[in-house]
Amino acid sequence: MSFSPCPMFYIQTPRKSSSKINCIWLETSGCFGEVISFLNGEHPGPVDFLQDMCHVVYFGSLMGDEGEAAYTHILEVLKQNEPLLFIVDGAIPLKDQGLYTVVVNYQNKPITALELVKQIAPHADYIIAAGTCACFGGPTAARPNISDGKPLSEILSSTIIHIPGCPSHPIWILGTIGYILQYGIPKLDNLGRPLIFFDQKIHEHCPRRSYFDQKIFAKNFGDPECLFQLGCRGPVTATLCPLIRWNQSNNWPIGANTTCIGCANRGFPDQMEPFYSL
Amino acid sequence: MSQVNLFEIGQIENELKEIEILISSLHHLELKYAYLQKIASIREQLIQSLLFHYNVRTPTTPFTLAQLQQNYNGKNNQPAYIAIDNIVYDLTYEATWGGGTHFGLQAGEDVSHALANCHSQNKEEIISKLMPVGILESPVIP
Repeated sequence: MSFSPCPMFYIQTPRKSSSKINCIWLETSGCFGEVISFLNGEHPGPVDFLQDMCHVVYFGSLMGDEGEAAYTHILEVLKQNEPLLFIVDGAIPLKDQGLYTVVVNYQNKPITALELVKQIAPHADYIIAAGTCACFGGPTAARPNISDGKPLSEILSSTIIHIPGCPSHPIWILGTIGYILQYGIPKLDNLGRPLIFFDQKIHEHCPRRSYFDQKIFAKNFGDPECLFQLGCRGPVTATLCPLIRWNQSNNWPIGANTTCIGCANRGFPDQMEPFYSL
Repeated sequence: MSQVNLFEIGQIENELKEIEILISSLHHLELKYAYLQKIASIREQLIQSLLFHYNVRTPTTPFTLAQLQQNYNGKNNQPAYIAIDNIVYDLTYEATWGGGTHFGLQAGEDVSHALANCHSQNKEEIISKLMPVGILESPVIP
């Protein structure tokens, strides 16, 4: 085994008695934003995830293998009776037998996301739905939903840990994976989201909250006051954005003088519209 | 008096009791009964306030649905009013109705149906926290 800084070489064939849990990260009908956000992770970051935390046997966008060669990694790990962490990133289209998302053409047969998810899930000990599309349908399932995209919970009946966000924050994903590795499934709320990351509303920690309480509201974008009357969804969104900020910076939507659009909510984007009211 | 909150109502009532004790020791009968009457009228106002808080007395300002849709829809700095079960509520400062919208709903409408569907378990609790401002003129029979 040769060490290389390139993440591609950390995806290996499954080993029998691995001390690390096997992991499949399956991208379905999404936008890759979830992966971009994930790659922003720090302490732990994506390299820690690939190198130390899990034994990642399949990660479409990061692995060197493609097509059938990549798919055989999945087939091999399914044959083993080892613990498996299954992460799904994206909604699952149902229309036309799921042909709107084909993961691989295997022996001249298209394997759709719908089929593959149902194939892997029974072998998985932990299933994570990463991002609002996988959790609640998200933008994939937005009006008019031409591919009939569905959230993972409508395809599988097992316990799914929902980590919504468009995209979700790397701390939520990597933090949950770290928790699973140490302690198992964290406490989940009624929507299946880990309470450690999703039990407080943005409104509770917003730095502009005193403006709201004093009823001093911004009239236009760019004003420093509370953005409530411009349509901010902070009061209905249960994420830690004001505390952890984004992109390894000190900024976040309200800090950038724009409203929260509630991207981690069930019902995003259709029920969060209009995103702003001027 | 309707701006007094429930805690303050309790405090005022306690103070009224103390004043009553002091008044009852007066010897000047006319003055004593005048003061006791004054206390009685303050108590009446407190009761009105209490009833307001428990939504027993709703303001009876009439609104039509058309008025709500045109002038109280939350857009363009208008107040955001909604109608639930023929009572009109003011949601302009309700945190979950940013910009006068809530999960695909727009203020200025009758949202009784949506409330019953989405919040079937805690509908009464939600209504008890809202501020009534009037009633629908042409009542909608569900």
